[in-house]
Amino acid sequence: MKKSYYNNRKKKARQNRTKGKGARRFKESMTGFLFLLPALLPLLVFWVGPVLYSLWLSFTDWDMMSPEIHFVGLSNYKSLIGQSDFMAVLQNTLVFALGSVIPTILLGLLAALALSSAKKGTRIYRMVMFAPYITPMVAVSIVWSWIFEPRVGILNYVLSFLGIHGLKWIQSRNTAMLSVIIVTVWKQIGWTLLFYLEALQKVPGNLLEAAAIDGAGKVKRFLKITLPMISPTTFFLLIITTINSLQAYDQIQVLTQGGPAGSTRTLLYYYYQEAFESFHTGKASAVAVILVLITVILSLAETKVSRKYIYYE
Amino acid sequence: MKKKNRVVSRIVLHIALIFLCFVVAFPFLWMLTNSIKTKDEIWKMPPSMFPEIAQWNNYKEVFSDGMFLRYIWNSSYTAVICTIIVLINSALFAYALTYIHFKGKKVLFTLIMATYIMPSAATHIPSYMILSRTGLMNTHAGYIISSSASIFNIFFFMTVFSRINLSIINAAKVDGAGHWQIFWRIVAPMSASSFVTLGLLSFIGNYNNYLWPSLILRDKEKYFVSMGLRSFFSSQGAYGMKWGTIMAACCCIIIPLLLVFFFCEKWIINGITSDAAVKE
Repeated sequence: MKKSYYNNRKKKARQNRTKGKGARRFKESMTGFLFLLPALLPLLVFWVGPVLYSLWLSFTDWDMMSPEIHFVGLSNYKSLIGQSDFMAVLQNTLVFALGSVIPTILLGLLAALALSSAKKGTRIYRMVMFAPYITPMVAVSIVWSWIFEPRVGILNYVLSFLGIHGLKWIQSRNTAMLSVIIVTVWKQIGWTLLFYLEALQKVPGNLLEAAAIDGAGKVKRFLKITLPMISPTTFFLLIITTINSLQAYDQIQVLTQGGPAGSTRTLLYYYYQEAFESFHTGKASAVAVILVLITVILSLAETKVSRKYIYYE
Repeated sequence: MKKKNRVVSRIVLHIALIFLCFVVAFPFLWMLTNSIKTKDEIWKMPPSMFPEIAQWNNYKEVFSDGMFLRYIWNSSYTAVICTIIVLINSALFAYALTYIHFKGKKVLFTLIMATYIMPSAATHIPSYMILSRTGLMNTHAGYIISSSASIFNIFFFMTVFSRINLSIINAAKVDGAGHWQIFWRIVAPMSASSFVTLGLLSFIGNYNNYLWPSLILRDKEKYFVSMGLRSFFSSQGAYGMKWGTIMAACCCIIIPLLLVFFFCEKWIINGITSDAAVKE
């Protein structure tokens, strides 16, 4: 056994010597290429290529049908910026982002704090709170639109005990965005909860104990020890949920279709209307490019800051 | 006295948690109980949580034209195919980036990093054009091909593979094993649990997918569950009368997923928060 192994090695070494370094490297590269190919092909055709092509389309006036494509420079961007419609879209996007991200993170943290101090049943609590995250957005949005029903919906019925009457939810431009936000937050809380649970576990218990012995109260311990220790998680969640909020589409499509009166039309929704309803391909591509730019800036901020944290730790 | 206080605060905590869980789970409960109510009970004011007698007519109506079974089949089989493709090609890709030496590795890595954060919206118009020019529009094959790369999976596998002890791989190399053998005999079995986790996540993601399939699939027989449900919802009239039937339809789509989650909870949750999913 050992001898044959030794011979084998010797044989291999001889082979390698005769083949030469170059040949061996070439073989290794070829193997690498073959391993990469099955994923590289769709990646280039359906990701990298399209992103670059979108960038090019954003400088054209194409409408998806006509055989000719004209280069129009920055005019798509200029017309977007000059349009009051588009400004409203940006504003809606910002409201939706802030309105969904902040409650998602706060509620996720609160739930995680409660869960981590409960000793029994944490697994079941966690499971229930996480369940909405894996269900299809379209289906749960339909369920929620029944809950939001103005006349006999359960939400208005419950609110009537608190003296709040007659909210029209998704049918009114004042509350439509709020409705979309409620569904989004409800679906995501479990996700932030998971990350906070992990982060809270890593806060050293002896540090908290020492602070308690020194007479620091619960609130003080939380503010001075726990909160700073989990701040990398908070920052990570802040950026990721913001990026996700820019991608929200399903719930808006089901609940409001961007209405009433454009009050829930966000950047992404606007992109689809321009691209696949109005066929303003050039303009839609410009919107996509803006979306990409915002995402890139956000994730660069994420990598920058998280690197800093690792450095300080 | 102090001990008593602690017991009280623990009880308060659990009451708060149970209340929170109730609020979170309420839409599912409400969907379930409303799906077995009669029309009159649905529109009754004040509403009641449970029907007097459970009605199954709503479910009969949902399945009466057989379309829902079709949607579930379409979503399931395409999701399974996509999942298998994406698992294998991502693992191979990650293996090459981790263990095989070749030129241009850094460039490739940067490229993948950059695509990772791209909103998929930026790809939809050109991908749409590709499918329509190649005659793959309105086909499941078109959906599968255009969804056959997952950068998330690649990253996940890269982190998992880089944790495997290098000496095992080197020992195999010395024994004359090629990369192909090392991949299938050592690396893949050693990271089997990651395959399970990613398999579940990809399946759920594809099953729930709505936006992209709704752009490329036109015939009703080809719809996925979310699209089928959406069109069912509009055909029943959002402000119409058939909320019971709509809730029954939602149950048929949501409950199987909740069951999958219930039985595979550990795999799914570990996958979401593991460093592999987060680091990069």
